[in-house]
Amino acid sequence: MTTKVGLHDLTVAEAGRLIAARRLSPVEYLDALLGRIEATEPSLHAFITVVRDGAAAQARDAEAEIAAGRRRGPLHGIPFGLKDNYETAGVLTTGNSRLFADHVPEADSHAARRLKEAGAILLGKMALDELAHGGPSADLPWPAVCNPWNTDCTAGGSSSGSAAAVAARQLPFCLGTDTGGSIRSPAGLCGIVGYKPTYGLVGRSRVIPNSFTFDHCGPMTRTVEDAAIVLGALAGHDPADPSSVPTDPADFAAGLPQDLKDMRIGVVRHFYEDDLPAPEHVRDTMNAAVAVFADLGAAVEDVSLRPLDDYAAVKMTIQLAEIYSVWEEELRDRPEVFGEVFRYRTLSGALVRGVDYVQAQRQRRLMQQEYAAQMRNFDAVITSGIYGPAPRIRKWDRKAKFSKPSITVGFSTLGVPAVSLPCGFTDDGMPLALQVAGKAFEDATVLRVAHAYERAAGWSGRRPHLGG
Amino acid sequence: MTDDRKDGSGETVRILFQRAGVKLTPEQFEGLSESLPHVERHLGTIRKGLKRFDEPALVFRAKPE
Repeated sequence: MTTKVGLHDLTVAEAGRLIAARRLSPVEYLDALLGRIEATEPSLHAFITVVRDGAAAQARDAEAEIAAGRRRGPLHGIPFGLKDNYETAGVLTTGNSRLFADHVPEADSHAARRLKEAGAILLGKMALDELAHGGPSADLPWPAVCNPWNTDCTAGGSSSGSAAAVAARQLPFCLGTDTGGSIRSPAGLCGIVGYKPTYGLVGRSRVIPNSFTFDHCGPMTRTVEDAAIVLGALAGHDPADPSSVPTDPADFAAGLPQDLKDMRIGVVRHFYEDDLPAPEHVRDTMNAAVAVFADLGAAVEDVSLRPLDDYAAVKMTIQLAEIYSVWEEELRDRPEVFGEVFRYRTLSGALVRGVDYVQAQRQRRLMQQEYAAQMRNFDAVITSGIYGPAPRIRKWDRKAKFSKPSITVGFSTLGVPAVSLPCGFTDDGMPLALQVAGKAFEDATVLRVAHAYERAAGWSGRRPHLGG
Repeated sequence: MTDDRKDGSGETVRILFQRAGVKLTPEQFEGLSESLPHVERHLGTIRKGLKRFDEPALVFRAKPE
């Protein structure tokens, strides 16, 4: 290495290039990350399981394969973490729930299998809110995850461990799951990139379900380029997932270097100014971000979508019914096995009527049609990410889930690709976030727009001061 | 929809949960009743603008064997 940064600071792309050039050994890289985990984990609680032995064996195999000229691609020899709702053969998969505290699956989730095939090395099963829905809560088997930028603050949820680990340089990338914002929100609060692909692009089989028609699997990384690399390994048909759409293999990183001079970008200003009024520092940051897109040569103008409340009503109705259907037996007969927050957020699903569910799904199709019509005039839209700074863990409000919409919910309801990426910091040094979204299955365009902003704005280089 | 379902605390809600087979302690019921008014508010808005022929986003598809 010629720079002063540690090996744990390498992005996926940087580490992949060094490994390909035989200037970095996967075994050496793994050891560096294990050292980083040892130094920082006591103050973060990002991991449920460190897969130490399995990872060491995989790293040795990767090194031998690459030395023999059989490098599989940009993820070969790169360690990663999976949110602990992805099933992993022979490795504890808990969902941070008492229901699965000792659950060791027999088979891998589709996403875990694809990453293994790409040569990536499973190093961690990452902490999460209970079953990707309830938390943080003091009554869960594993403790709340702390934010690397200020360990008194929450890392967000529900993919909290994944976000904290990537931000803290414990891992170069993780996978999260996003039902209403569970990749993008913790990514935003931890200052990393969180990517929710188009619904159906990444297979979800053997991921513990939350809400069948809202669940997405996606990468959490420190750069947009890394998200594109990981997405390239994940995307593809999953025969065991009925929502999975057969697609041709794609190199999502290939189109990133292009500029934005031919792009039309809509600003969904009403999301953060009217529907969920943001504090002044968030609005100021968004104004600065909009100016960056204009400076990059994109044609930028405001666009109106449905109010966030409309999307939230549809999402909540459908999700309540779906998640209740998944856990009905346990919720009905022994609700005490769940944490308080999970119970609070799911039990009212028992009262959603069949007709409510169908009307919400009808409304959802109408919203998709309206959005598609609006997007004939735009290549991508931008709006605020979750509003920073991250709240203190002790002050977290469990009622907020129902009482106001989230800034991420619109793109969840629409099933379109959306990414959260850093767009500034508060005076106290806490991350702020921007969302870029696009048209269904035009994930490459969303990544291209986000990448151009990331390079121009230059926020992704900042590191939390944690463990040196 | 009844008023006590809207405020989440009344006998109607208790009966609805009983019919759904959910067994809650008084403490669990009290915690839950805080969320129900918000749920009711959302349920009240999802029919906006729908026409009779509007299909749901979730549809059944037959597959060839």
